[in-house]
Amino acid sequence: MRTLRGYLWVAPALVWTLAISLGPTLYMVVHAFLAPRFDPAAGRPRLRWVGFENFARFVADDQLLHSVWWTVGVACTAVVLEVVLGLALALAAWSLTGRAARVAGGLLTMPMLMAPVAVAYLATTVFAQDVGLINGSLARWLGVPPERLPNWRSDPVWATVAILLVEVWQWTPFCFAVLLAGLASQPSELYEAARIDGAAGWSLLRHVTLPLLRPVLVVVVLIRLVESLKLFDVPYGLTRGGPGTATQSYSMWIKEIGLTRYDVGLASAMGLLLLVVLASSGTMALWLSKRARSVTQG
Amino acid sequence: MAQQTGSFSHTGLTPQRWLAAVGFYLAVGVWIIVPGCWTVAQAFKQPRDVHSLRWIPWLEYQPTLASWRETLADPQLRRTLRNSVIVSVGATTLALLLGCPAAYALARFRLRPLGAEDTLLVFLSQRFLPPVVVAVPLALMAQRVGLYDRLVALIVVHTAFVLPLVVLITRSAFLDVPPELEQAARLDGCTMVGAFVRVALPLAAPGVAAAGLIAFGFSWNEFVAALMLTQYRAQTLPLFVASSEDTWGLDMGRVAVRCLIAVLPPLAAGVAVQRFFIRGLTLGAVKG
Amino acid sequence: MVKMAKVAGALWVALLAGCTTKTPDRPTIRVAVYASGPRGAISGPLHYWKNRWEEETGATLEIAEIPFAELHDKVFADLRAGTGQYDGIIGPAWFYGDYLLGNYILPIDDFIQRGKNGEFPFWDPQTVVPALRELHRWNGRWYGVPNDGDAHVLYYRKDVLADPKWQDAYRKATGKPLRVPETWEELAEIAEFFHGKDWNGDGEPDYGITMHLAVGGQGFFHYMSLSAAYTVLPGPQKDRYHNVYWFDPETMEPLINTPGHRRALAMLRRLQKAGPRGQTDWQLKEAWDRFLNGKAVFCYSWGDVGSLAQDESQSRIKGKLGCTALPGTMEVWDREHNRWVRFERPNRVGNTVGASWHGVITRQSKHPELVYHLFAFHAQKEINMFHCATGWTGIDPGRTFHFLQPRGEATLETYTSAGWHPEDARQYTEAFYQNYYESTAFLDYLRIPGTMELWRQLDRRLHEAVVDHSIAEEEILARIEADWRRTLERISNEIGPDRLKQLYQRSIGYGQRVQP
Repeated sequence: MRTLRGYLWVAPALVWTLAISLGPTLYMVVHAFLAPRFDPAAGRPRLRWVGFENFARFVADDQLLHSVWWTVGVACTAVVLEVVLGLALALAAWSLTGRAARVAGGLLTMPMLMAPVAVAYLATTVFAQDVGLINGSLARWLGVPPERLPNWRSDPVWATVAILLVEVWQWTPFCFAVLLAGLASQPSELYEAARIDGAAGWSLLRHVTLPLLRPVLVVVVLIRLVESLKLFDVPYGLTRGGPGTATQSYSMWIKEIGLTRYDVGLASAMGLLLLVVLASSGTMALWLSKRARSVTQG
Repeated sequence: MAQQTGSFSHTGLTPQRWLAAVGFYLAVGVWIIVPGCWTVAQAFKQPRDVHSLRWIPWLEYQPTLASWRETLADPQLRRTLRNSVIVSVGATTLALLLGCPAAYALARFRLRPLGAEDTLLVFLSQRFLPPVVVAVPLALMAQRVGLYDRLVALIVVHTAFVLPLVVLITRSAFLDVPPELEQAARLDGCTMVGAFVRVALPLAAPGVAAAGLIAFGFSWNEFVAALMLTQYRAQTLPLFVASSEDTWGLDMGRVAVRCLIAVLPPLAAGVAVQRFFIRGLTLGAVKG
Repeated sequence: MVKMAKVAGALWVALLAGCTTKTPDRPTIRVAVYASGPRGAISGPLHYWKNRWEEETGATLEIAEIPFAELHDKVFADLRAGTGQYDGIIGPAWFYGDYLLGNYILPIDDFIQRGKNGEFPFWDPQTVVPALRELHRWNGRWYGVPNDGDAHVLYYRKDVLADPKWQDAYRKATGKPLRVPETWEELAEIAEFFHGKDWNGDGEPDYGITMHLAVGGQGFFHYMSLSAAYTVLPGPQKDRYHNVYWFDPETMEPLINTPGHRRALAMLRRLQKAGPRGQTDWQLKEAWDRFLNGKAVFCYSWGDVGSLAQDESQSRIKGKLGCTALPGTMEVWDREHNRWVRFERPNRVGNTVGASWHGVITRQSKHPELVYHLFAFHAQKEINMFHCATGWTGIDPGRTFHFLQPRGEATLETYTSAGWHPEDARQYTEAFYQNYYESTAFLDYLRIPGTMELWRQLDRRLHEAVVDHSIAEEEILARIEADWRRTLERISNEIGPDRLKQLYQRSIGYGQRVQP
């Protein structure tokens, strides 16, 4: 009875969430194996069962495969940079007190409140080739000759770097804020004890601070990784997927194939693959982090 | 900011601390102040100054309100702004209405066979769904059933997107409320619902507010689903930002103004309740 | 907190809702157009005339602005789903294949007839230049109401090319006279000569040419209009080997990987090197700005450059603007005999590249008459002429009355009163006339289903070509060919191979005699 009542309280939210994800998932599962084929008898296309043809078309397309590795690479690099920078900033902020530090810390959290697509469009003036904020400054203050300035949006490597910079700019503050909160909640008695044992500086950080921070770090890495793999807004606004299709993310392809080409079968197959990979690895990671937390806490 | 009880804080002004201070303020300057001033400057420039490294108004360039005037007079702005408000307020309200009871149950009741933690995992796993994966089929389905380009559709989808976060954050808020108070209320003849509404909810208000804010910010900034589920009537503000690019290219002054308008509400809200906000973001992983 | 937010939110909603009052008894039409605001290209004119049109008809016009990059998706999502959001669409001519495949739009021949009786604002179909006329028609019937005429012409700095100092220097350097280029080779040589020299005297090195080559923009039109001269073989008829650009009309084989295209792509890269490095990031405005600011000798692009050059708030070259039809080539690849054909005079192939943004009426519309009225209102001679002569409208020449007498009906006064320098106006209109009427052949406009996708693939591969010169031309063209084959295969699977071929043949007027 109590159990049932508990579920009654949970049910609306659960049903709502699952309805929005299960509906599309079912749709994708079905359509991943269908494709429109011209039916001479009817004189118009009909949806037909095509087996794994949509998946085969995905695997045969170099541009799509490139986007897989590119998206994964960008996501992983971005997460590492964000966490390392965020941790450094959090440690620095942690050692500071006073109003100025609080205000500065507050300012630093601003980027993550902004719409990513707005950030991406704003970044276009920052990365413009001859007169952007970065290239303009490089030329004016460091005297870099024009032919040596990076062509941000026309070079696959620099374009990727630009996207990474924007991602890192926007989401390091998130890592910073969460890690700082984690640091602030660490029991100070442990530090007293460690200091009495003669630990200081680097060894204090390595043997006390970081182990204590581990559960928070795991959560931060996990959240950022999952979010980064969804990368869409920034390349959409900043590089349009270019040069060529070098920075066209996996999500951008799904959208283009599904809604512009109206190739629903291929888009469904790609979506399904992504879903399976993300959901399984994500759930596993969550489970691991839950275990890690109960181990460290228990 | 969360309260600062740093490990080095008692040790006075060591070189380490000095280094940390310099590094930190420098980082904030480069990170926030420089791009912030740049963007604001861009929004007040004339077209011929946009593509130049000019910073100081009146000295280096003649500021103009032209981009602002053009944008504020654009009927598109009024429509997308209104849609954005309706969608984000609607989605936030719905998510809180649905999420708070669920979170409360997950914090208080024993659930079988799926325990509270596992139910939470089901919720959380929804965050792994890339919006594009959901939105493409939803857009195709919505086109069939007449929900395409309707604010309702966007509210429903945004609610589902933010519900996991709301449940997670408010659950940790309810966990912090001592259950004895509700038990006392029940002994006084309060119903279960009564105890939740009159006792637990007010006490968990800061956490609920944080959850609401995060939901609001998320929905306000959301681009992918808004891009795919709307076409004209239900366009939200991020779509208006994307409209800055036409066949001739990007009008930088226009972009800067539209972006500033789009980012101001969540920034203001975020600054106003920053303490709760950060706590909420930690998803209860940190008891701060 | 939440309560406060809700109250504030509700207030705001109420406030905003109060601002938008509607009168339900007036018929309302909604027209889709890409978003560039009340003073931007193509959407601007709709806003500009909105009040007057509404007064005239008693109807309400809703201008549905859609981000340019999303216009295709949004329009066809609506048409496919039959939701009937849009009564009219101001779209590009490359939508026709998809429009007609789904039978989504209305023919307007009947309206045109009734317009002659004064039921609608009058525009004369004969005033649309023949090359553009076909973009508004399909299988002998009118569907589109003319609005914007798009074609590339070559702009140059006539003051620089005519400067005796530079003429001497050029002759010394190359042994050839400096003149307005008639072939792409000549153009490249001159551009290379000027590139990197400070020929405008501002103390900085300037450019030979400036192009808009950004990916996801309209860079591929540069290649289309350039490569036409190398690949379109003139002939009396549109047959398998003559006057054809995209696909073999008999087999639907892509014609992109042929010797003509290899030369053309090499030429595009050569020109690119005579221009600024940043141009591979640039969209139209950025490329035009460099030319308008007197930083480049050449620019080949749409008519907007000419009219923007007259606006001294953004141009320093008013009165110095030279303009001519695009250059040609002395040799064209003959696919029938697999050899180069030499010409006595350059093969200057005319083009209608671009969108030629114009209105069509959807079948879902409940007020097709009103929609037609709106488009016809904009197509009237006086209004269209005003748009053509004004820079910000984005509307370019393509009607006979845009040309100066005796070519057309316009007088110099029409242009000078709109702020034009008389000599600029003369050359500008003459260049478009040359392009539309005096070309050796014409570049087909691709209007089959899936054109959007085919062009996007072309655009991306071409961007790969211009950002990385280490990839051989053959390789780039082979990639385009492979992409296209895949796309065509998918589309034929869906609509049937014969149908695709039929649509292609119909869209280019296969088998018809070519007007001399």
